[in-house]
Amino acid sequence: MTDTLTPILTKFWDDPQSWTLATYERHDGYKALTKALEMEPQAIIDAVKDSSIRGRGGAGFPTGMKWSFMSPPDGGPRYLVVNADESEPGTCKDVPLMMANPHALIEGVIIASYAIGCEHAFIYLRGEVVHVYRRLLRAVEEARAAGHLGTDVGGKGVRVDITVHAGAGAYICGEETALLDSLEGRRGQPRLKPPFPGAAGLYARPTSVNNVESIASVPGIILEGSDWFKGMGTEKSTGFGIFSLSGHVTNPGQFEAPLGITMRELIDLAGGMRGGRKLKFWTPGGSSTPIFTEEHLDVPLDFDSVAAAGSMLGTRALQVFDETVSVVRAVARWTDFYAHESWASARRAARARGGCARS
Amino acid sequence: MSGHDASGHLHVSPESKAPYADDVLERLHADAAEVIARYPQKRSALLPLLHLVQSVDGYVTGRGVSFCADVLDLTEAEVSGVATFYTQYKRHPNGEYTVGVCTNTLCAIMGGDLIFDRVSEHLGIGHDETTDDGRITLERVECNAACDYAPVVMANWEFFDNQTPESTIGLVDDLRAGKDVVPTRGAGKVCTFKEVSRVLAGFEDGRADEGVGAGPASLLGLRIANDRGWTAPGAQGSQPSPADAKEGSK
Amino acid sequence: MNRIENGQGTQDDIDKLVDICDNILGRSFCALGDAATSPITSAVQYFREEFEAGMHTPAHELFPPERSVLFDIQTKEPSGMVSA
Repeated sequence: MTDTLTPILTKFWDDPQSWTLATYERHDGYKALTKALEMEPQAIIDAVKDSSIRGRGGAGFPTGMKWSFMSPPDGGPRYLVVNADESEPGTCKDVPLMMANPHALIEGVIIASYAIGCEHAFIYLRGEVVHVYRRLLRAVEEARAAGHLGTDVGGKGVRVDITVHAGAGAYICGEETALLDSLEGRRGQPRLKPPFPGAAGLYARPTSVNNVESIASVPGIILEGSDWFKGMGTEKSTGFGIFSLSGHVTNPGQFEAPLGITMRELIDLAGGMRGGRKLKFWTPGGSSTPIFTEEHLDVPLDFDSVAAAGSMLGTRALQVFDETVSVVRAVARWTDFYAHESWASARRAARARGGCARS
Repeated sequence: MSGHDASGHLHVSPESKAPYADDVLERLHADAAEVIARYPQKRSALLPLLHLVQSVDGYVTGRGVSFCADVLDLTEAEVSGVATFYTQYKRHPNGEYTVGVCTNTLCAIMGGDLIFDRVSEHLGIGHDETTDDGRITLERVECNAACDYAPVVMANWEFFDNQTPESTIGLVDDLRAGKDVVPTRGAGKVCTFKEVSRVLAGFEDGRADEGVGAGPASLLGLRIANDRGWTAPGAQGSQPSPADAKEGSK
Repeated sequence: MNRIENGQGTQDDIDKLVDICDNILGRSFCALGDAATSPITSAVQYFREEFEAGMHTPAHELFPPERSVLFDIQTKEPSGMVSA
């Protein structure tokens, strides 16, 4: 039985300079990379597959499987692109993670790149968080100076470099193919799938697009083993995740816990509802996931249980609204948002192409 | 390149077409070469280069569009088509500070709507408008990934957490008065729109080590876990002794 | 949606909303289409009566927005709070 909360990625966020290489190294930083470089790339993919980690960006697709679905190497470039465009309303886990502990992401990127045969990885960060961009640029620079990046990573002749790219404000770029178009210097508009990025992604080359938290979880899986990871969470939603509680709770905040924790437990940790008011509705995974009410407080927050209850775990963006809130007003505002963020353009595209191809 | 707001193209004022001074152009070319070198294909440099143009001109000017088109072998229409797609690229001169009040659902309900209205009334400007002194451009912004600090206000894309109408009015007054303003989580001070645009083009300004790692809401779960002795299993999750923790927080 | 928020909705509006959502779901080119429908359909499912109240009473009268904010509202009457 694991503890209710399991600080891993958040474990040293309270260190005075949590974001530096020195701090990261004090907390076993880059030990996983050393271990990974002793392994065959396929063994890393197998370990991640065996951990059964499902993508932390919302869709929940198994990360290891995504890597193994990439077209086989043909001698040309292959890419890893980290989706750090966190902009689904309510979602606020990746931004604090990159602000406080950017090296967890950088180490994960290096290991993942080595595993999938990528020599040039990209982190696509939304442009509206300038201090996070500073921290990522600095972390890459520190990692390069320490020999973790470049043409001879860890003295093993492995080539990996990272470009951290800042977007410029467009929600749609969180969709993986729109993000790739944007990274190519175009308007961020979704591509029709197939082909999937694993076959033809960035510059039409095999590409894996992964969420920040998924990639940041990789060093732990490599260092501690997939059984360690599977020891947390549920059978089909293994491991831990950052749960973001916002809104009408007494103390909103971030809680890193095994998947399967309940909203009742989380609200309790957050000090209950503000002013003892009654809970009215909440979103389990950001504003695009169907809302829940009081009757769903004991639904285990894992992918399958939330789906069975009629919603989606999404990004674990738990937005809490109490009895003072008009659900009509809340929904109207969300709808305005989606309309504003080119919902209309997406519909036009759907009509022009005869529909379908859900990403 | 010309255009009208109604067509969705950049509205370009005549003075923005005046050519760059030689020294400015030289520096732009040097910077652009550095940006282009970060990517396997040079078109990928377009977004950072548009940020770079804003770091010089304060918005995306006609000459900036021409510059990008020139160095990336694109047409001006292709460049402006991209520039108009993204909200951080400005079609007309931006204030020195963009103050963005989050009015997406959660922040709006927690007080963002009221903050926007009060600040708008205080400054006498609406969404995407700039004060006469050129200091503040006011915006309604969408969710900026800080919902646990709602209501949130961004000043040149630095976080101002847990805002009230009074605190945000104080913020804009200080910015207009030319005082240094310190974000809740961010650099040691809010930099100007042009300075921040240069960072967004990928040029470090030496401020990465300023500010906190995490705010109190980000640390809430960690603090509770530490209080209750909750840890992740295994070596990585092993708890530092209280003495270590204390030492670390010095 | 805006008509219902302002207390000027009709029974038709609610039915039409649900209908449109059914139509978009699964047919849109990207996930954003589905994303937009989720809050609407689920909210109508759990709080249909509140949408029906939107046929006669604006949301800001049923649920004064000042009660939801996280800070104490000082002296001044909120101006422009009424949704347009």
